[in-house]
Amino acid sequence: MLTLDGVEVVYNRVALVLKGVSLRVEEGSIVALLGANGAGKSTVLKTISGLLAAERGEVVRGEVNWQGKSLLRMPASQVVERGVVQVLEGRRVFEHLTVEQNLLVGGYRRGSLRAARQALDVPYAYFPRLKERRAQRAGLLSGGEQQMLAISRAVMSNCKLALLDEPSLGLAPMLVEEIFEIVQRLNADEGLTVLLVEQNADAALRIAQHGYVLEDGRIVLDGTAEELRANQDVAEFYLGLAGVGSRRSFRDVKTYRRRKRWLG
Amino acid sequence: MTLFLQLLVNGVLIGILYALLALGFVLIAKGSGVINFAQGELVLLGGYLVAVLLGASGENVFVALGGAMAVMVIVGVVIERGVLRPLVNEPLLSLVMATIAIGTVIRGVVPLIWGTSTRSVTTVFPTGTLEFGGIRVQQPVLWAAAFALLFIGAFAMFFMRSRMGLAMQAVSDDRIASQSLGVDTRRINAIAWGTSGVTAAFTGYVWGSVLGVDPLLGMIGILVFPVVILGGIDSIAGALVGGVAVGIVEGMAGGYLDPIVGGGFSLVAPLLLLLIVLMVRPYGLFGRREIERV
Ligand SMILES: Nc1ncnc2c1ncn2[C@@H]1O[C@H](COP(=O)(O)OP(=O)(O)O)[C@@H](O)[C@H]1O
Ligand SMILES: [Mg+2]
Repeated sequence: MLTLDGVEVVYNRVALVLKGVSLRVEEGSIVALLGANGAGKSTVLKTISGLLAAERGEVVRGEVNWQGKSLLRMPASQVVERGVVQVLEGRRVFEHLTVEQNLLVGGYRRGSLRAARQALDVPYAYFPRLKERRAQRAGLLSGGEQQMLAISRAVMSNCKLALLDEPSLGLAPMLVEEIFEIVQRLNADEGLTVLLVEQNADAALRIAQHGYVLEDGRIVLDGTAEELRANQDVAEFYLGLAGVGSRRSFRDVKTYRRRKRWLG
Repeated sequence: MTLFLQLLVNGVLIGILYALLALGFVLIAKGSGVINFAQGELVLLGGYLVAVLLGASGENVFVALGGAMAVMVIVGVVIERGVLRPLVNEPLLSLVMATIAIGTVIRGVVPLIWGTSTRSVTTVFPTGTLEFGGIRVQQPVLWAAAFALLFIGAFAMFFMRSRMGLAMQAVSDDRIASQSLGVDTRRINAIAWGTSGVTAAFTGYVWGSVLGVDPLLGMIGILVFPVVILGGIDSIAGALVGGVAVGIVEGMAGGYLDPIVGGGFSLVAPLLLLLIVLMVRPYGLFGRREIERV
């Protein structure tokens, strides 16, 4: 199980971005972390994966535990060794390497190129399109294929917990559905635990069992996927069901009142 | 016609040696994303180490070259750890300034330790001149170019076919994404500088056996720039093509134009070529254009 307890994070020693975040992800589950732009979702993932240090971020309070061991102040390479991998926002494939070379770098922690090669079958089985394009430069793939590659790289690292940062970003709805369905299969068949960060709450809550809503560095709401889908505020702000032509943003004036209601 | 072929052959051979010089530079650009302005000075240091160790080992080339390579690995790693690692999240310009400073220090310290007289470097290659249909080739240069090609080929294989080579390319493509997959980017950077040190020792030996070793050897570093900008700063194949192009242009300018203008044109010809190429292909002939999809 992954647990965060009262995590506070600052960037550059001044900007407090996470203001006491607590959440838990049971092994074998898919948990959604929802929130608007700038809420701190990516920061939560970087806190877990150890990538915070590279951005001058620091955990000033709180605990992060995975399978009973603290991940705090652990370098990213060791976090990966423990089976926790972040799939970065914006896909971030190695553009000048081929698809297969990208996957082999994903298998870097397996210790040898031969071991990494032997692991290629798994991502190729889930993403046959990548197999077809194995010799192509990753920079030339479509956005959807790049997202598949980014997830596959994590699979190559033999991860147990995948931290997916907005995999639906900029993709057509049909592709989002395809990719999320594969994530669900990886979860069911490979036992992959997933913490799924999304602004696309609709898609995320369809495959997640549980969800959290993050706003301005705080968890303001959590519940089962059904509960969240049934919640009027989530429906209005994230599912785009606010009524004809009036899809509102979270920065709406009414937000303040609503947040008080959640917190109260 | 014979003159043309003679100049062409000379240009290609010397161009391969330029490519070897550029290889060390490319290794660092690929493996740590730093533009190393001290490459010429590293070669200078490598050349002196070989020359000194040759004297100390009774002219045993293998001991001298092996020893120089070992020392240069350490020098490379020390530069990475001591100078560049503390600057890792600083702007690229700071890193570049740091490499310029390293170059200046080496250029100042080497004559203090070893003086300024030219030392010859024993060549293991056969001496004398070969002649094919009127074209003459100095054997040491021919052999030096052949070994340089082998060396460059080995590194190209290393990049494409090994776990470390792939990781180095990944780090130069996207450092954070590499870290997210568990690549220890600091270790990769140290390896890049270490292998570049090995290359510098080998280059110092090869160039030293052709030109001799003295403090001016460091000046060939300036030619790294036309070579790598022609070829792209992070492409080994590009370094080879860029090196040969620079070698040919320099040789032709020396053979045809220097007699007319009274000498010296061969020195600026590579830089002119560089200007022209930059106007046509700003990312170099082989360099990565940032891949853009629409
Ligand atoms: N490296 C950084 N340095 C300083 N501030 C940052 C950095 N990364 C993110 N922030 C700030 O932290 C806040 C949360 O960012 P982020 O975690 O990326 O949010 P989200 O992923 O939910 O869009 C934003 O206000 C952002 O400006
Ligand atoms: Mg984000």
